[in-house]
Amino acid sequence: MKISVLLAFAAILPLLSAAQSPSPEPPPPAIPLAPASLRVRLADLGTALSNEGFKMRDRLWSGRIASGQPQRLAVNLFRGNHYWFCAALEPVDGKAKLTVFGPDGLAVESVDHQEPGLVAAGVTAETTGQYFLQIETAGGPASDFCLLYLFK
Amino acid sequence: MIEALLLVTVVGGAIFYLGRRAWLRLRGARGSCCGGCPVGPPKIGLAGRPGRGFSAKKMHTAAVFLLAMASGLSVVAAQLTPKQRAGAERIAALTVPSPTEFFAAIDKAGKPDWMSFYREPVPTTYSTRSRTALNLGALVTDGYVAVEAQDGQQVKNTGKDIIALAGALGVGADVLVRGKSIADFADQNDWFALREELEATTNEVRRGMIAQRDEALASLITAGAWLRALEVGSRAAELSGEDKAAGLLHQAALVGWLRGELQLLPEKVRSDAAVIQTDLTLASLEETMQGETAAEFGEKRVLAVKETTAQFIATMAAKEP
Repeated sequence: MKISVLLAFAAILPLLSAAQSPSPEPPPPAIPLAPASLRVRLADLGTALSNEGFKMRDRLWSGRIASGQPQRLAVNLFRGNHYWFCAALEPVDGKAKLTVFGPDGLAVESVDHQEPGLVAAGVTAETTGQYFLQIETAGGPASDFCLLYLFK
Repeated sequence: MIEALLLVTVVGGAIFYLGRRAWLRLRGARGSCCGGCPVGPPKIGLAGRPGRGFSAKKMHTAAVFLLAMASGLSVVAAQLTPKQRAGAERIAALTVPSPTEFFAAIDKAGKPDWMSFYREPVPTTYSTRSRTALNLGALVTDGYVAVEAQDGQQVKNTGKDIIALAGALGVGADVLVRGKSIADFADQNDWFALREELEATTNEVRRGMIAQRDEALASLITAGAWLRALEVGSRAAELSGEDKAAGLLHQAALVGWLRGELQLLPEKVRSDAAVIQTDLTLASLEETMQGETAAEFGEKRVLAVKETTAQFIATMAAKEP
């Protein structure tokens, strides 16, 4: 048990030290690097899900959400796989809503988890294709967020 | 439009009913219904509360049903417009799935014999950096195949070749430590950690490329990895003969995006023979995958994907004279 926790922690270390996700374009300066506290909180949740057999993607998605300004990310999911998308928020009392939309643009059914400063959505892909994650504030001030992507 | 009208009608009706009921109850003096109606004390109570007759229960149930319908419709109404979908952020390291995600789905559709997907060892020197990058990507996918096969020695061999090709691209030092971790995890048969280590290694190489302002090579590594993954996936789908496995190849959006990344490269890079070949291969795949839903991805298309990708991977890996 201890060894598995240590291994999971070792696996997440690259996440903790990761810079912004690389892209072929020069990195946009507008997107701030996620605060370390966000990444640490995600690491806790990620470790818990790792123990359930979920594998973490090696990169995080981070940014800032304000009222009426949701952020969206395109991801490609495979039928039959289970996914968790977990976002940590700063400030901790910030509230956010995480929605997963299918290839047709319709919201898909998800298992939602919410606790102070954390929001997560679990989905099972019913079809292979491009899905969209949307994170938005559920009222309150603007928040920094950092999202972790896991699959099984 | 019809959905919106229905939504307004249902929500409006429910609010009207609940509002009217509350007002009548507030006004009520006789019984516990509304005071104005001739209904006597109820024979059937609801949740132990006196005063709610059978008809009230029926009406209450109807209101709950209407509200449930309304909330169900609001879920349906949550939809992204094509413009919103097009404007979504796309990050190579997350938008492009890890081959292990793809292989996990293949495994669920029907356990393939992963060792049957091994390739003959490929050269570790190429005359151009673009070909080196494409082959590096394909080798990373080979690493995932070896992990799926739970073959430690094959993982270590592939890991060595990955480090050699990364060295040829000038980022060998960045991933040397990763290479050692791969070997250690392979010795310990830690397949879970190996999958994550392989993805981390790929991202390390990509980051090294971007740090060298060589974004073109980073795009080619991703394209090479995914084309090899499609070759393996299409062969697995062919062997299983399952519709579920075939549907996993329906990746038009992903292939289109990979192609779009190549279009963004400087013209000088785009005129490179290997880049032209990659673009042509992706264009052909995009056409094959276009206009079909995942459920309708038939045998003919599976074979087309397999032939296109196998030919590309073999051409790129072929020993140069």
